[in-house]
Amino acid sequence: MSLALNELYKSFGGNQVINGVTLQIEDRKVTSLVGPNGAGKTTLFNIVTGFIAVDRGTIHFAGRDLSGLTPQAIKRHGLARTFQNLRLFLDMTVRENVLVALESDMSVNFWSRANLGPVERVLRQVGLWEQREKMAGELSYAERKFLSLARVLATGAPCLLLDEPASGLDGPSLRLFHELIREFKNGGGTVLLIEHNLDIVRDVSDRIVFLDKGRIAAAGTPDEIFSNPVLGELYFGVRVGATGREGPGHAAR
Amino acid sequence: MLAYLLNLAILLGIAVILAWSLNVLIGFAGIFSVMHAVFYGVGAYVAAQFALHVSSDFVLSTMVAMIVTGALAFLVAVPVLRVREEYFVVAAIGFQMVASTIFITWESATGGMGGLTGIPPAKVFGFELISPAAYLVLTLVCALICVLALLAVVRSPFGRALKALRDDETAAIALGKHPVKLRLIATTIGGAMAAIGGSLYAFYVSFVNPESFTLDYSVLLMAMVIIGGAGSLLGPVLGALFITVFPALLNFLQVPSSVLGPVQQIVYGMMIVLLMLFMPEGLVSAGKLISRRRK
Amino acid sequence: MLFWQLLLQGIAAGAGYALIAVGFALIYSTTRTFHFAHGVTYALAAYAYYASLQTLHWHPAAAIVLAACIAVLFGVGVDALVYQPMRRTAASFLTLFAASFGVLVVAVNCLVLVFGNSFYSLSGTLSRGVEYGPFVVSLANLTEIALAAVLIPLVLVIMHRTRLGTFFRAMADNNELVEVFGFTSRRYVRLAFAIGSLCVVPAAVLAPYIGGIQPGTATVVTLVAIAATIIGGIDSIAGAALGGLLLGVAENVGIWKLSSAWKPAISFGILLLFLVLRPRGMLGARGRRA
Repeated sequence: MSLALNELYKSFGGNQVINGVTLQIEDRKVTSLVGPNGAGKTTLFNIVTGFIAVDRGTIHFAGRDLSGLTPQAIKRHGLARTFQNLRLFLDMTVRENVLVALESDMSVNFWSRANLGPVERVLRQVGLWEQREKMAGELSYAERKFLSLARVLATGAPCLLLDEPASGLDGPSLRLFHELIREFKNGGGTVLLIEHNLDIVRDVSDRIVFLDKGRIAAAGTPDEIFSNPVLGELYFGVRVGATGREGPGHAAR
Repeated sequence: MLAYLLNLAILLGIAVILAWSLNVLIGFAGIFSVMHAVFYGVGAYVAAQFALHVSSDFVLSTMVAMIVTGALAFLVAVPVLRVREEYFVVAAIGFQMVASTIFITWESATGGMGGLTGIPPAKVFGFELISPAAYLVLTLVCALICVLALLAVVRSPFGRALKALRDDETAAIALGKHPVKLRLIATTIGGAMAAIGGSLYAFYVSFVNPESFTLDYSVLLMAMVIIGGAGSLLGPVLGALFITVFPALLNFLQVPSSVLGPVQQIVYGMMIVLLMLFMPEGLVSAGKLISRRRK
Repeated sequence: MLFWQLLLQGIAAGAGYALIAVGFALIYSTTRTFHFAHGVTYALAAYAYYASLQTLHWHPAAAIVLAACIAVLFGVGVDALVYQPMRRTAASFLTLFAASFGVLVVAVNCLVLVFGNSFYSLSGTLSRGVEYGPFVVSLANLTEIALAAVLIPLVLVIMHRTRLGTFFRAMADNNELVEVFGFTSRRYVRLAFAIGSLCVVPAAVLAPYIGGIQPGTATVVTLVAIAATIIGGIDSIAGAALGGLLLGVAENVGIWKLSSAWKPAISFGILLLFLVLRPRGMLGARGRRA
């Protein structure tokens, strides 16, 4: 099930934010979207998941045309996303947060068979089973990031769009994150993720797409991208990664 | 004295049912409805007409009232829920004003200013309910049914979806929830539950007229939910208790009746302002705040 | 014949509504505050004028100044005591609205306690009728129309041709900026409330000469002002004025054919129609909610 973006264009008040993006996200692979701030990465996510209408262009997934559908319909067709600022249900418990993701298509029912099985499975996967009755608002930063991941894994969607899922995570957490992505891939899933931490990008991606000023500046395997000096200068010259890692170019603000 | 207390208890029971029904809109679905008296009124009028012309069986009358009111709530909500929050408030008030006028002018259905009188006593399993004590029992049974229904809603996927919607609508949408659909259903449920209160009122007082279903009463119901605490099950009970009992208290303290009305309103108004400033979750959150202080 | 008489009365009433609506729209578009207690400003100013004139026997000019001071003090005061603390705690719209509503309830009932529920009116040169051909219209009505015709364009000039207006419009366009810089732009928020509250004073001062005043008017006036603002287009001050005019005319001409029981429902009927058919109002821009 591959995700195909074709000739996407979007402008906001005279500003061409997405300037002709054509992209094939390969099935059962992890594709990372990198690029300087303002390149249009989150906007692309918003377009693909139906939160913003695109001016021109189409989006196809598993052979279906998703252009113009609502976010709910797109989720039903198998694309689920996380948010950069997480957007957890802070007044609900960890378990309830996951339940809401699971129950989406039964939203009108009044009787729920305990979905405990799938909930337990997902929560154990991300290591939050012990905290299942804690309020989401009481979780630590890393725990929140994993809850956001748990939610989207619980939807069962075969294609995940993750917006900075690993930023700020430390060693052990990063390893768990890798594990989760790998398991998901092996289970037949497809991942498109936005990330600024280049270590993570290099380790987890099968393919990297470099977005700059609304268009694809480069795409290739991690080796190809990281050995390209022009990209290194362009990218490192504009921003310091989340880990504070600076590149061969001059340090950024 | 006993008669007085019985009467107060029945009116309190009806108020609690109404406050709970409004809470489904305000507390669960985040819909700030200042027109709830309309659903109360429609429920009362429909039950009254049914009792007068078809059967005074309580269960039947109430079911018919619930269906009509629920349908009305749904129809009103369809266009009105599409507008933004701020507009909805004003639209609701507007709808209340229009409805009040209809209650007065649609004489054939509502009896106009004079209303409908001579409503026969409620019949339950063939028994006619005459004494206030009987009506109190009936009210309590209805209240019990309502609270069980609400508990079921809160614990259901529907209730969770509503809560998620209140918590973070964008995230809820991303997870597949349909805000409009969810709010429509919540409004229908709230409207139907208000009809229970309306039916109880019509049978107990045995007449209904437009004066009981005005904007003032909608505001009072809203005050009950807000003062008590929206979103919880206990909150509306506290709010209804406060607002029903308070005038009786003022009466007892022999506050002159000419200033009774305004003084009451001033107290409610002040409470709302102070609560919104310092305790926006209502009286019911007092326990939470105290335990937070202790930590 | 009756139609034209009613139309004239409608325009006069509409002029009053327009002034009040412009005040509300100014406050809302710049500060994003749903100032539901705006009608109280009107009522307080009206009663202040009446009381100082009738009971204290002040000169009308002094009474007007008093009314204006009270209006501004109330508007700015409610903002400082109620709205601003809530902005600090990022209170939800509903919380803010409920508090505003609470203020309205308290104020209206305080007025009832002090002045009672009956209508107070003034008679004087202003309430006398002027014959103009076959029509009779009171001087007060004419004055209201004249004042509205002068003051509303004045507000628009301020909004579009002064530095203050530019800042106001910037606040209106980018309410996130208001939220982020809420603290530093306090001065402008206060000014918005002051000017918005001042707008109602002409209508308030003339009210005792036209229909008379009564505490309940505060609620009715608030609702009409908000309805007018929404009908006009929530971010358009000119729209709010147009909306007020439309409602005033509709209410008065409406009872030509409908019984007077329908009068309060007319404005809301129109509002509901707009909400369903054209939610952005007459002059509003297409929705730009995030």
